[in-house]
Amino acid sequence: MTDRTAYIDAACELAGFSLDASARAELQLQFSRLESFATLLDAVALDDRLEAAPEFRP
Amino acid sequence: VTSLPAVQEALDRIAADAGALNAFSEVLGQRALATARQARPGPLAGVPFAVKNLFDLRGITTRAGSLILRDDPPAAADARAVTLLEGAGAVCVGATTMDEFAYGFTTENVHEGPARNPHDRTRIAGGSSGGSAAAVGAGFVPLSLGSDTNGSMRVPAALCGVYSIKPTYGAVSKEGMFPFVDSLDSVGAFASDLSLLASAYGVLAEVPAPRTGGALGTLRIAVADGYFARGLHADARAAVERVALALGAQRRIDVVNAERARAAAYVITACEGGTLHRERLRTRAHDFDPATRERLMAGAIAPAAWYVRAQRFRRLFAHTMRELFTQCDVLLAPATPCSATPIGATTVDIDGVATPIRPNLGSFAQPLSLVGLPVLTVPVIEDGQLPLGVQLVAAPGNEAALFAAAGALAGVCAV
Repeated sequence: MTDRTAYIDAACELAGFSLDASARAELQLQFSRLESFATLLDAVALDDRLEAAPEFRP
Repeated sequence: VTSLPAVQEALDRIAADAGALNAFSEVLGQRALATARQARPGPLAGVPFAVKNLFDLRGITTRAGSLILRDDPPAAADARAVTLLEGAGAVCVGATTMDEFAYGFTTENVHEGPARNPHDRTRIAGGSSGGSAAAVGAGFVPLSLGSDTNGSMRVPAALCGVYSIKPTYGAVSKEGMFPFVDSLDSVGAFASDLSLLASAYGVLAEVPAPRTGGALGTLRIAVADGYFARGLHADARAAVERVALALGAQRRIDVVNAERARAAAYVITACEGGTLHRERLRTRAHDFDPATRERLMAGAIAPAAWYVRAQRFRRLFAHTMRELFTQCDVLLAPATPCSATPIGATTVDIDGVATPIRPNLGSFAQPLSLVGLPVLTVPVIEDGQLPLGVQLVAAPGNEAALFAAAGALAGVCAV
């Protein structure tokens, strides 16, 4: 079991999500896809003073 | 003055199709005829319109394409956007099909069946506002309401060959709309005709309708390069070039960090959407569309650090785009990487790579809505080919530039 799988299982238990084997496999795929997008953002240098956009206003 | 003939004709066209296009989840004949019998002056007098079924319509349940909401009580009042359109003389004729909870780009809904493309009924209409775009593309109604979070109007507008406007974030009231991703959701319209789209935008945003005629004047128009010039079919690239040529746009501008903007939109969407549906995922997981459920679950359990970083990047990208629009007034970009794909297909070949359709149809739309930019999608239809669309993008609040540029495309964007 990888750390990622352990994280997903623990988070699902905490959230109260129940999954069969098929749904669990699909969730792992979707979580990995989400992680790959999140990782893309890690490469950007963000100034510590750059505030989060709490709700975007143009 | 009566709207009755136009509304009756729209109802007849819808009835003649007998649901084959699957654009409507509910047709409201009695309501439409009752409304049409009342003389209503206004810029949209007598215009029949359809409504994506995540906007409240008095007397029917707002299902948002789901099974889960089907047992909810009927809406007590119309959504603000519906009230505004009817106040301007338009007449609602029904609710349209969509991806479940607006989370998709194809409108292949397991509960309601797929919305079909009016140009080739074996193909998708795009999504998530697929029914609304198909209803206009098929000529059932000249106008419809949709919502756009990551491209949910721009993608189906392109694939169905109709105009759409996704206004600046916050420009149109979301009151009475079932949410998806609150910090991204926008209300907009599809139309078969640019001047009708301009009138509808004016009514929805409660501003004077923008002009659609006349010369381009001093408008500076550029083509989005870099990320927006990669990973698309040759015909989608040709559509952009055709519009660029018609508008005399020669300048190319690389939109720095566009790929990361798409990534941030993806993360924010999953996290906000997953959080919205967290309790339903816990108690009614089996009632979700399988194409939606695990994506929402992934967002609901994602580390908070991913979401916060995406939001901080969003602030940075807003600065980037603000700077870009000091160099041009309107930016051109493809609306989709390809034309409508067959219903049921899971991948499409792009540059020799089997690319998953569902997550990637909106890849050129997502970076732009991340920072709330207004986008007008114009249809480009070559003889004998499926439609494509081109996004006209402007700085927040500058919808006037979009309508002016689109107005200069007469003859290029015939629907």
